[in-house]
Amino acid sequence: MPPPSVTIVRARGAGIADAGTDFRMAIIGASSLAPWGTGVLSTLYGDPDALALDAGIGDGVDAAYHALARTDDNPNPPALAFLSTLGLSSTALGVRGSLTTSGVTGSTTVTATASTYPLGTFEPRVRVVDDGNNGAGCVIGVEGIVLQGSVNNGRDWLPTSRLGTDTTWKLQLPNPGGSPIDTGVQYDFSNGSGETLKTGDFWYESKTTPPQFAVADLYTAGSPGTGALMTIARAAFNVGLVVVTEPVAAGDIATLKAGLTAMAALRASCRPSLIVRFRDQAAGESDVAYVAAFQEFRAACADDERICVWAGDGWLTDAQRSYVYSRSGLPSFLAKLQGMSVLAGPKGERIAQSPGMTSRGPLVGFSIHDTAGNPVGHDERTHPGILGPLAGKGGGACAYYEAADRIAGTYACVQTDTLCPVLPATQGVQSLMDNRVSSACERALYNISFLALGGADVVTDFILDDDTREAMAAAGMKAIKDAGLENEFANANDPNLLTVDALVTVDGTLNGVTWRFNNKLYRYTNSVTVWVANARG
Amino acid sequence: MSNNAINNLALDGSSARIRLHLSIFGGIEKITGIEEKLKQEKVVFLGERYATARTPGIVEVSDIEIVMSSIGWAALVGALPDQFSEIDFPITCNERHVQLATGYTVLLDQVQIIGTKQDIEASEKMRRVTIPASVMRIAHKGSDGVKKTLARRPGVSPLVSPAGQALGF
Repeated sequence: MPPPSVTIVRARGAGIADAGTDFRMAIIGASSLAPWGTGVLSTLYGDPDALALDAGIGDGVDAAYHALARTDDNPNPPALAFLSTLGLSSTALGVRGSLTTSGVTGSTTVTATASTYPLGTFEPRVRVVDDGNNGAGCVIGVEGIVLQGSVNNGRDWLPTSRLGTDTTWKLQLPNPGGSPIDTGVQYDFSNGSGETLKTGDFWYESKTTPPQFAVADLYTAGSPGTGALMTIARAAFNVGLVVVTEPVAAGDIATLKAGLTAMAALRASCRPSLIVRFRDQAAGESDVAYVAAFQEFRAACADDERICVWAGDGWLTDAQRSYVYSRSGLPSFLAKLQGMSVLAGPKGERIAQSPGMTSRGPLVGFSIHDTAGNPVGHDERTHPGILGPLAGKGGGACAYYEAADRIAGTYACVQTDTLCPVLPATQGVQSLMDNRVSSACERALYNISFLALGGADVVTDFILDDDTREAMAAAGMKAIKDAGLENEFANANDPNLLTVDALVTVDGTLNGVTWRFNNKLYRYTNSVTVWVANARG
Repeated sequence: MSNNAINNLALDGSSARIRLHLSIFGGIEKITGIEEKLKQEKVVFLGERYATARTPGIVEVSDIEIVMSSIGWAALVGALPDQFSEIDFPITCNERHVQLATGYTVLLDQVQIIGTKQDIEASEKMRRVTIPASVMRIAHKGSDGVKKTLARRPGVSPLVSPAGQALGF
């Protein structure tokens, strides 16, 4: 026997919890690597660094990293799986931003290298920190120029790198222990007749567009259907949440809706909530115009209570590298959702917990105000219009800013936040929380009703024997408790929570039984009126 | 003379069918000691000679004993996990007279086996195993088909049944 040993690995805290289907997430998004194969769902990851090592970079990877990173908002991150849109036949490659080179005082012409495709949402900025010639300029192709890049418009600067004798330069992210990672952003420098760069020269690019999936790669109808959603439905494990990290178009919603239906048709217990996002605010686009655009998008969407749309971008602090990107707040929203797996609400609710519950605090790693206090993203409080209801339909989930001392921060808000018609207040599935709870209950009831299949029943004149009915009802209520759903709706203690109809449909030796689940979903505090007397004693 | 289903028909023990979770296990001779009691305090205030107030109280549900034949117990043990005090299951007892459309159901909820008792002796008698069990709560289903409990629990409607409303409750 070899000498026994203890190995200690110094690493960031990593979630390893598999919190069950309700909090098991599949993320579909852009990544630079996909070692699991094209269109293949990865295994479950609990360690964000392991995921990043495998998947490389990209908005999708960053969102997954956020959801897996151990933070105050997400202290025991549930494991998740990743499906990369890389290599899918119709994925559109990333698009470079528009380049501004007015800061270049040297004689060289800086251009974006042709046929280069960004792998994420970046705001590239590059500066010459030293020309090796005391500011007098260094000829391109001659050793001496030291460049420094930024992927976020200079909010964070990457390590410097020497241009050397090259005439082209790649913007690369550092990768401790490995080779730097290409961002897909690259510049050419003209040097035909001794052109130069000088110390202090700089150039920058507007926000790049990451690789964008084609909706047909997410779902295409067929027998069987194909696409990422169907891949997830066929996976060895069930998921409660599916997230698409790149923006959807209004027309995509009908396809995604059909995809969700096909998932449940393929596997009845596969009934996830889908979280997608609306596009980011364009450069120079006012908040009012952004809200109007969302409403136009929403009006063109198909209804579906299973789909939640996040809208709004701001300053997102990347959980892996702590770079402050101008990106969608979706990753922080996901982290808050995943934190609910262990951070229960006032009723002990986890799945039913609203991401807008203010006592959970602001979103971690996302702000719609920059460090100077200027607004940098949509604020639902300032320009309401995302939440809805919009023209008889639900709206989206978004963010607002609270400035009061001690509770200041960017908060998420959700109301009628899913893509469903607004139903009468007394009924109907309307929100992400409602849909998640309903799906969780349906999965639990699926499990116990599955175990009732093939059981011998006594049926007389289409009437199911009393003791069979009562046993089914009692077993179903136990299944709800065993699934940990007692705190996820208002009347879990109701002895009539589940009833089984006496009347059955009979077909030869087989009969169909109807179960009725009489749950009451929570309502959520949306406003508090405080009356202050201010009387004198 | 007409039958009104109260004076002329009656349930008896033999009309009971007992299910443990989804399944019927044979060999159950009886379940004894199903008892629930609302324990309250009736309060007498100074100057009063009768109690005039009572506390809401708590419901105490007694432990029960399931008496089974040893063969029935062996069948049940065969279906239980290796450590069988660590699971709970519902027991439903349904009684219905053959001439009645409705009946009486008792739901013993979250039952947990908390022991076994038996004698081993040479005799002509059936070997019986007594299984003490803990019951979390009891619900009763009457002729309106709605399960009811002795005391209200959070999240359960305080409304009385339509039949109860007709009686002015």
